[in-house]
Amino acid sequence: MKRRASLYLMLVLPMLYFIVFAYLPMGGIVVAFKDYNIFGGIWDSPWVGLKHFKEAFAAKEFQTAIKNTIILNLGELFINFPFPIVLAIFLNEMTHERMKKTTQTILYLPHFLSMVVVAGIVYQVFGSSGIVNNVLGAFDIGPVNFVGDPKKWRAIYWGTGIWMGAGYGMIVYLAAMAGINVELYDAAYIDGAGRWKRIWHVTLPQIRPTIVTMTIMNVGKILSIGFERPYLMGNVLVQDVSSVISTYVYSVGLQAGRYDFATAIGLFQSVVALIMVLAANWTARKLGEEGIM
Amino acid sequence: MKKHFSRMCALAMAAVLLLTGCSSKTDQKETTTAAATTSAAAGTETTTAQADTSAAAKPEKIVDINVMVYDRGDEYSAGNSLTDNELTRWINEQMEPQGVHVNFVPVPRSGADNQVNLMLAAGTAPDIIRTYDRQRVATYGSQGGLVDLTPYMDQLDPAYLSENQDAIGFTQFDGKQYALPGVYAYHGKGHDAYIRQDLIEKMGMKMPTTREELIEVLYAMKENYPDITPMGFSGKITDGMYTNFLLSYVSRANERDNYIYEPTFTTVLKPGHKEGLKQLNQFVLDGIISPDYAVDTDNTKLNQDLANGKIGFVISNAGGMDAYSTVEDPDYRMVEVETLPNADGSYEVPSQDPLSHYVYVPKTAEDRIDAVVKYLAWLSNEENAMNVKYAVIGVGSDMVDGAPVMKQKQELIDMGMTYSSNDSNLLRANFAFEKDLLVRNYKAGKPDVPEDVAEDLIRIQYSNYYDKCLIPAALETDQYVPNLQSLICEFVLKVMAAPEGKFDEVYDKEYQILVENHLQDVLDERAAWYDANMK
Amino acid sequence: MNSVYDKKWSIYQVVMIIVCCLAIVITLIPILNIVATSFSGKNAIAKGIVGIFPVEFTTEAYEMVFKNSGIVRSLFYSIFLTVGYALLATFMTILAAYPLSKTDLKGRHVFQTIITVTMYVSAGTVPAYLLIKNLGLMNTVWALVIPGMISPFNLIILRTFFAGINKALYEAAYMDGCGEWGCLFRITIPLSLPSIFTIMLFYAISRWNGVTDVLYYVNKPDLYTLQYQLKLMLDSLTIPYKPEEMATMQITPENVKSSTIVFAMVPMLLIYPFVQKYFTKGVTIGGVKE
Repeated sequence: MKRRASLYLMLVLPMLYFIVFAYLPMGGIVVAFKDYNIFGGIWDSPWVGLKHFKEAFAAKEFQTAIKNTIILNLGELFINFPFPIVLAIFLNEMTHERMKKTTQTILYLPHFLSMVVVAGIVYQVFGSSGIVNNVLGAFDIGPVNFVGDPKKWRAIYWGTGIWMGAGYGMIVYLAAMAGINVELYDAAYIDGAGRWKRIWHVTLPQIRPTIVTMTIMNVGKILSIGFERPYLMGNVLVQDVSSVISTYVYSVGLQAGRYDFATAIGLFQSVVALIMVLAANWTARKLGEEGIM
Repeated sequence: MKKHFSRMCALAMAAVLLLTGCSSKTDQKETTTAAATTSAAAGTETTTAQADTSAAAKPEKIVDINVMVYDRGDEYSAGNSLTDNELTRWINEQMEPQGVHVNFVPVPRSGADNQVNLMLAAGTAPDIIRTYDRQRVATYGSQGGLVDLTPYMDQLDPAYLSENQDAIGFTQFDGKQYALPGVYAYHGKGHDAYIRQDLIEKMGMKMPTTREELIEVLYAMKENYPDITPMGFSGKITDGMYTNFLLSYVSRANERDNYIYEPTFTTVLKPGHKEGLKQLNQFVLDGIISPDYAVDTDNTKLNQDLANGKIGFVISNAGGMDAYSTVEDPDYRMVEVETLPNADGSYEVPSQDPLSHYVYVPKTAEDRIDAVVKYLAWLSNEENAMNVKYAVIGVGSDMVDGAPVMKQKQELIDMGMTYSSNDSNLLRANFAFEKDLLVRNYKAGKPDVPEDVAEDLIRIQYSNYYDKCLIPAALETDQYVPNLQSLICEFVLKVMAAPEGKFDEVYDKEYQILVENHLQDVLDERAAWYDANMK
Repeated sequence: MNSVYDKKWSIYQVVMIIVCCLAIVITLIPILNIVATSFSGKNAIAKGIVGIFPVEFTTEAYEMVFKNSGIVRSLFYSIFLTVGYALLATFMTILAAYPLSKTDLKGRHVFQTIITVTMYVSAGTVPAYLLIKNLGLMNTVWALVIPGMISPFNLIILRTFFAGINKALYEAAYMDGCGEWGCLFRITIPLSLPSIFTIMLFYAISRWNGVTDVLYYVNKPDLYTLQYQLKLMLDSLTIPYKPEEMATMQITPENVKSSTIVFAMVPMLLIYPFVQKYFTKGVTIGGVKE
């Protein structure tokens, strides 16, 4: 019993933190239903019900933004999400220690570049006079308009995500693999398992909880999307696919200082996120996994 | 080496102290003691000021006020900072005899308005704030968050009031003085156009003076210089590159139209603009403008082309002037031109905003409004403003030929002076005498630009402009304007990119987007305002 | 450790090395371009001729940074802040992750739901700002430490790692009379060093590069972090408020901009190898580090 007590004792400070710094300010979400006057304060501003929600959902741009956000995020989930896992597994199997470490370190670097810089690089590399088109030109192909064609732009968007994030995302899985008991590998080896079998029967099952956890967390992000990447990588020619919720909120809400409107859309995103996460978590648990809640 | 080590240790210790004990020393500030340390540097003038402090003054009560100052991450010598340096100490020497102590509140230059917005919401905003965004002042004012300065106007410097009547009227919103203008003693064109004179001469043509001639020149450039893009353009969301060109298709004859269309970016939507867009679209189709312009979203390609001398004509981009130091061609000659008269036959273009910025006082400052107004009044005096801008004449600057010249940056740092002193000069953006120094200053920054090119450029930039007709009131539809501004830029950029024969189709589709985003509401409300107030 | 099995798979290794080399090249070239730009002259950058080697070599961007005494001071301060924050945040995260990794803890799902929700619901800037102000944290270093004390993302990851530890170890320890605190320090932490260092690294990175909280909660130059200080400097070069200023600007912000990216990367490059060390070591059931 004393053991239990000390477990709860450990939780006191962290839970206090979440209550004070995450839940206390959540009261401010009511501005989503108000006409917020920054001088009048949150409570004294008049109620307007669902006005902001109605405004957003009536706008064609917002519908496009939702659609684009979902498409880009689904791509992230199916294309970008597995990348770090594959990368980590392959690097883990590598015996050339120096090469392995160097690769890890270098692949992790793009995470530190700002989006402005990365967008600049993308336009330089894939522009009509960029390296890629020069190479294609040598084979008499192109020039291909990668950054101005909506379909190709999506591919570039996802590719950039991989380039920026795979090395960084890999760290979590490397850490998970470092925790695998060596004896499991020894046993598999003695049973005559080859490399692929060892990956399939030892490595993957051992890091599965991490993969499941990461998946659930990512599913919840289906409607949340960073502002900078689509905004800085976009241009007027691809707006029909690059305008997303965050860019919409920026141009209609934040740019004009309309916190109430921005909060309303944020609330909508939160609700969808929670539903998605609950569903993913429920599914995971039905499949016998731990889940995150 | 040892010394170095000990310095590192000291710094490390300082950091530890910061980490452990900073909450206890948040509000330390220097008040009157500062005067003693500065007297040596400030010379005779200060001695009198100091005498004032000790003898005449000791005002019964010194009121603290907080004034916003831009934080640009400037460098200061030990013991000095943005909020406590020779200039701030000098200002307080002047103000304390009047019973006012000025504290400076740093706000980062980039994102300043957002930061201030938060501070206003939390009630922690400084007492005197500056912004470049007229819309904010209008909104804050209509939300009841700003002090109406009307009753205090007579305390300001009479010269400031009489010289800037228009600007002061312009900072009234619905009859309330919600801000004071930071004004230019002189101002000039908001848009400028540059062309390669050397290429025109080599082709045996004359400098274009009308749009038709310009078009002829651009097509000739295309033919004779295949590696040069006749007209520079990019996909950056800004109104600069096209406004001048489109305005050559519209008229200013109707005052009502001016009030409806001239605020914000809507000028280019005046009747007649469609023809101009069609011409720009033709330019793109014919390769006068690079067909890849739209994907150059941050001007990278355009600026590189300019730096390499690969652009024939460009609007609102001075990169061609910087290129004097990068282009290898000895004949290179980029000059500013007036080549796009508007439909009324005038070369006049909209001026840069008549005001530099707006200075406002939030309601939270009401209990010390007298002290706040005292400081504003002090700043509105030309001599004081000049001293502030030039980091105290005789200290941070020297008189040369009757005009103050700032000392070198390093010298200012060493003496504990700020080198961004102009940021504290709130009410006067510049001074009339500076106008005579424009060519000299321009040459100092761009020494490779030939003298005559610089002279012409300054002459053209500071003539032939008009102030836009702006509405001195907060309108209901103002909230749609920021979004609409970007949408209008996007509209132009997209319509220009219309495929052969699809111009009308694309135009109608994109215009519809503007309408859906309240373009018509905005125009209608302005029309209604004009009909109600100006008839 | 795996190497004993893999001698015969040399083709696999060769292919892997080639793939790695390709990945390195694709990643490194743009980064070398940034480093080269930070050492290149204004004209060369303007003409767009800088590749992976500096053109018109100059160190003016770095001189400008290092000459600024404020930046040198904030460098040391940022190191302390980052280390202090990373240690504190990691400790707090462990405190929460450990109990939540116990599948038999009553109320565990409630706690976890409370935590997960905060990952997807946020109050927005204004209420957060008001909270910091009302707690009196404004303009103190704590405003840069406490509000980001626990990242739910890191917490959930760490909890997953902790949950993977063999329960038999705990059972044995309980038998020996070991309490939960004892188990945490003697079993969980030693066995989870790779994951603990990983989240510590995540915390350090976020603190080192984070500027928004500095922007909002601190307006005392003494408390500026290095990245914030660099951002201020860069912004002042990029958006001069008067045309005249633009003319007198002697330096291309491009190389200063590039140098600030180098500043963001170098410290992380320095600490990564220490974390990486733990990635290659396996653990054995005895819980004794190899």
